[in-house]
Amino acid sequence: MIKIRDLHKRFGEQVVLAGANLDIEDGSVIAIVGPSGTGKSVLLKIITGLMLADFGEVIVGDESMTGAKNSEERRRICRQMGVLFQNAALFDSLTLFENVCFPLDVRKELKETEIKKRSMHYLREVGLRGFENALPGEVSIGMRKRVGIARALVTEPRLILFDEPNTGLDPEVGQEIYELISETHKKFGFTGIVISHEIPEVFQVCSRVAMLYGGQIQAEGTIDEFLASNNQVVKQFVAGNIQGPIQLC
Amino acid sequence: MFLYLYNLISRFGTLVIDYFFAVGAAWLFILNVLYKAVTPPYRFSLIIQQLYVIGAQSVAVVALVGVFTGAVLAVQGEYTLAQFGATAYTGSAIALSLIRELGPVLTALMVNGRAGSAMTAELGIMKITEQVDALRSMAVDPIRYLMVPRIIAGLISVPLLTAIFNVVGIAGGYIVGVENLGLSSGTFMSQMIQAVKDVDIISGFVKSVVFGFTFSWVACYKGWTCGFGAVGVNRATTSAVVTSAVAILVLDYFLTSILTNIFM
Repeated sequence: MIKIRDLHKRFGEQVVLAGANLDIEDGSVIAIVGPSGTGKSVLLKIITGLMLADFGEVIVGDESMTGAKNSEERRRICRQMGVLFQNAALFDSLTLFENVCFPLDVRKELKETEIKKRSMHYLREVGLRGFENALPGEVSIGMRKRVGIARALVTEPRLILFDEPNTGLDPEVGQEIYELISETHKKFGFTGIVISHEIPEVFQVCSRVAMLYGGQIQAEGTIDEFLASNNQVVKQFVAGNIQGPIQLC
Repeated sequence: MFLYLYNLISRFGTLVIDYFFAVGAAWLFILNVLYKAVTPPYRFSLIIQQLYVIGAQSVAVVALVGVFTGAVLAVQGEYTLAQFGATAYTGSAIALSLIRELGPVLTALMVNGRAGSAMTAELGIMKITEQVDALRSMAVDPIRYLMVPRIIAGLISVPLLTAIFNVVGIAGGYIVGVENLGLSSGTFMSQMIQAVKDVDIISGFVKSVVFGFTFSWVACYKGWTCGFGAVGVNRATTSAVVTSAVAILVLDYFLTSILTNIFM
């Protein structure tokens, strides 16, 4: 289980998180939604240890990410996670295959033949057989995201975080990425956190939804519970209205 | 009037604080890099990869600049020394100028222009496209993985490239001096061998090590602290090249003074 407790983060005068709380069950996929600029990506960075919280706690399994004493301890907890970044964040100088091998290469836990075998397996899982030797700059953003998913999956982590998985994609390719996330979740059973501002599209990959606004989780529940929420912020966001309590940036 | 003075002092104070903050951050960065360079795990394959990028790929341009620098020194040296009837010393003038001064400085400036700018741009792009975050998320320390190999490679490459620059430069000076200007081959070589002492070579070597360290430090730090977007990378790259070039020339003066005092 992932537990987020009373998380606070501010940048100067700007308060981004002001006591966010959330529980995520093992094996479930939760979508964290909210308008742009509400701190969803900051929350993701704190969960993954890429950013330090001012106050509060993130517990992954039975270890506290925010309570990690040093970067070495944080890195150890990081190894339980995979991340798909907004623009895939593939390494430009490596081929697609080398990008997928990379997380295993740096861990030095498996033999080279096993690393290659496993990486090829996950590259096939995301439908990119035949593109092993292409460089990230030579393929489309949709393919790069697929490689990003394979790279997140290859270490077989218990938690995968997807930061705006269909940013920069046309609706058709965006749909393909969502389907890929759903398929891989069914197959590998990881716990997933999907950061998105796109509803209802994101509902197809998640079983639960949480909305972040004003630095706090405004509502959390199943998709039906979320859609039926009486919270005015949620209602406005779901309806896509301009008028309401949500202040657009 | 009082408000104007207050604002002026306040702005000056902010500039001074910002300057010391930036200098302090750069020192903390390099101390972190040096600590990680001497503690395991070591990544030799990455250092060799960077030696190829910074060193091997710079050989052609360094050799080209070296041969023409030597040729120009021969023409200028012969012209100047002829006024004193001392053209026999052209070989020693070329060799001493290259080994003590021009070799380390011009090599460092060329490598800074070719590899330093590329290093800053590459690291800056990695930062703004979340590749550095991706490394961290995979439990890889970006300082160890990106910075340490580049700084060690810079430190090793510049002295080696300087040696190539010196040899090629002397060859260029010899060809122009002996073949074009009609200087005696024997005199050219014997005067050069007689004039160049061990301390000249050590002095040039020390300079090239310091310059290699300086340019790679500046290039890595500017890439590491790069701002957002294409503008951020553009500014960081320009700033890295200019800062390194100025630092190399300023350091050259101080090193020359110090080394001359030590060895003379």
